[in-house]
Amino acid sequence: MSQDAFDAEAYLEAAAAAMGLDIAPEWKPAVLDNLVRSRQIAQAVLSFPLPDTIEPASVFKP
Amino acid sequence: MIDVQSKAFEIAAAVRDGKLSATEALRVSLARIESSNPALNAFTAVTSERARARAAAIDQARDEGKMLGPLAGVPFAVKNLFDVAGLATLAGSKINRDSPPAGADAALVQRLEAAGAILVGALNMGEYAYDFTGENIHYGPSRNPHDPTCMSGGSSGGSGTAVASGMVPLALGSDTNGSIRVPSSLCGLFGLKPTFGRLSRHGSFPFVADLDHLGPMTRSVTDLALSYDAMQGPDDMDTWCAQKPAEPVTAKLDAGIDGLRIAVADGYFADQGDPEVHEAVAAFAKALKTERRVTVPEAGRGRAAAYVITTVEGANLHRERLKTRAMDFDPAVRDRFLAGLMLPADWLVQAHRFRRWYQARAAELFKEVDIILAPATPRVAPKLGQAMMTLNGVEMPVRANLGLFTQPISAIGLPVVAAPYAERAGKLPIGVQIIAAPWKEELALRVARRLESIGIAASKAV
Repeated sequence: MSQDAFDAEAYLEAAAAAMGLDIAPEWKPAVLDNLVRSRQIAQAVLSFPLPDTIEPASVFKP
Repeated sequence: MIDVQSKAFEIAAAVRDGKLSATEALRVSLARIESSNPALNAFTAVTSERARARAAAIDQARDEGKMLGPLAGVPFAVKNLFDVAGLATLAGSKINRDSPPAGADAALVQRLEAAGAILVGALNMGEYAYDFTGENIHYGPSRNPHDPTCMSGGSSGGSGTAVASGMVPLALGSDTNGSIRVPSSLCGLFGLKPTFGRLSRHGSFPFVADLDHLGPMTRSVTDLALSYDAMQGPDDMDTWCAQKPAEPVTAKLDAGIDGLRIAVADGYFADQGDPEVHEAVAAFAKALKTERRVTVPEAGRGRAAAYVITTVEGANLHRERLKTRAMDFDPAVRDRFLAGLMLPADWLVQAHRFRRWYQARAAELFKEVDIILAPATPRVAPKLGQAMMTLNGVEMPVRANLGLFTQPISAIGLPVVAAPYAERAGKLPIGVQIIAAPWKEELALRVARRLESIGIAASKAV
């Protein structure tokens, strides 16, 4: 899916339903803004190629 | 013999020498809180009764000839996400008012008091630490003592306000993305964000387990070092606290900077921000006699990774509260958390993988240099209520972007001293980050101490 094709409102409705979240209509514009901004910021990380050998930074030591 | 300008080390020395009672040091602090706090709103609770008992105990110990600790009689206060026995740990929220009172003090509060310091209260902060402004919809903003119409910076805003106004010489804050360094810069203070895992977080209300750090804010480098030394050491109660013995720095502060390779961060850190911010960095570099430049590879993506980790993990922490008490959040915090709750798991994992890559690049960089200088904030304190700011001709939200220089550094847990530029007569303060390799707090503190000793970095209560 390209950046332009992202339908934030449809995504929000689907994700909120899946997670059992009630998002009041008056909150929705701000949540949508944050969703769109978060997606833009995340692209900086998602578009950067990483070698398969790079593991997540969280380490669990039993 | 002491006043609101007195540093922690001066108070402690006077108390140990018998020239000043802890009770008198406490009286000065409480009087300043009483006179200044109504206008500046730094404190959400003042623990005067407990503090008086503690001061009396220290004075009695001295009368009995007992050894006093390195912070004897030093009043201090903590961001209200630290547990204080008998108080609900608010973390800047309305919701946590309903929490039961903490049964014990946070680990770092205990360690500071074991060194002789005296807790005088809990400090205002941005809700759940998701903030760079110091504003708070429930408790009102902590105001900047240099101009009470301006932001203190956040999220440790009350910590900045309390130290910069001389209510206390020492406060503790937390720093997930910049919440010690941003208010230190805007309020003109020295702040230490140690290496991730250096100081115990036990007994503090979390935000993002992978990024949360705790540390001190003061008006002198010696005070940073003294309090940092008192708080070091492993703690099994914090999963991420390193199993490292304390590495005291106070005695080494004046070891100088000979042989240290110091460079200014270019690229991301030089290409944005107001000119006066870069003037401060240039002045520090000149004073340290360096013209060297380094590039922190992919710092912007490092910030993006920290952003994703913060919004997803922070939202997860608050998931149940978002479902049951969403109306009781600050809307600006709630709406970001709600979005964070819905981001794909893939993005979080990729952000953590990027962080690993980025950490390795930073490690390579620290083979070439020992210290990196970078601005702490992209501008001086904005006005309270200011939603937007213009940087390099681009309009952007204040709340998200005051931490644009701090976030790429805490993303990989590097130790940083934020140091205030001294030559700001008539202007609002601005700070510079002095960044070192992991576990090398000593080097950053020594550089800060050099800058302080030659007068290029300085902090004054107002």
